[in-house]
Amino acid sequence: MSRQEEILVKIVSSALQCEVNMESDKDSVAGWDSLGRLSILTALSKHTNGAAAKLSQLVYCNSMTELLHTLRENGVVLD
Amino acid sequence: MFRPNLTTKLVLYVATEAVTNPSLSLGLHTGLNILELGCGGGEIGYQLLSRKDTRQNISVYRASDIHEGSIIEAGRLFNSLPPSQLSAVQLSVRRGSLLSCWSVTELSETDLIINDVSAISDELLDIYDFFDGSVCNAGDDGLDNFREFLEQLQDYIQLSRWPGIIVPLLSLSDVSAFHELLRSVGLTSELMVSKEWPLPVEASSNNRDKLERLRNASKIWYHELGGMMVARTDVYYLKKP
Repeated sequence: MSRQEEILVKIVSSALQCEVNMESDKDSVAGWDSLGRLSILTALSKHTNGAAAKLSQLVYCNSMTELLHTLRENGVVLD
Repeated sequence: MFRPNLTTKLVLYVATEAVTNPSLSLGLHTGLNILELGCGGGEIGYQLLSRKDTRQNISVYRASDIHEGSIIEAGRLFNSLPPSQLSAVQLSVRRGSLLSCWSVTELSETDLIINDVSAISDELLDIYDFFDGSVCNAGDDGLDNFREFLEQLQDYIQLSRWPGIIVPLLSLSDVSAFHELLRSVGLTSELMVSKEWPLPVEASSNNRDKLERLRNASKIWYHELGGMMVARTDVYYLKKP
């Protein structure tokens, strides 16, 4: 797992209050509903000092890989 | 018929605090007389009456809703409680709008009103189906029902004291106008709990222009987060000083 993936896993696990991995998605994680999605976006926004909040495509991300891809594509680095 | 949602949970949380927590400066006591307006299917009353720590402080529980289907369901739900749990509680469920189905005597005996009547801007009703077909009619600013409730409270009752009032305020109504209304009738407010929640994604995206127009006119409030539009529910405890 890359460093970015490790950080994303930690952020989303904390946001959803359950263990996730890079294969996780909204169908495999019970708490990944609309409120869970809000928690994820809030946590990502906080971690990136608001940069993630500006990415309107994030709301359509339904998996860890989609989240990471969207962040990378828009130059938002998790560190 | 209205289905319990996040706002229901928040109102229940505050009602539970009001009924059980002696450290809160709400001035309430045991033997409470509670009136719930806009009770929907009875979820809040059912929860308060099914738990011993809340039920033991309640003497009278009155609930009403304008929707007949809701009243039928509330009646079924309350009737599912064991009779032994309700023997010390006087329980009434009626159909009616706001305070209209309750007598002056009943209202003057009330210690706590839980006002959970729908309140979002009418302009959102063709975007979101939050109320599952139930009546809303809260006006452009979402406050017509609350306005009428306050007018009824002042007009119908000769009160030696005002009851405490629990009311949720969704940011899909004019929050500033709500606080102005409170000031105009001399009610103070204590924010008891606040929670953000996501607006439905597709409906919001498809109506972005309208939502922005309403927000710019201060009829509603939301913020955007990663493409998600996020509203907020605040639950207040109101009282006359």
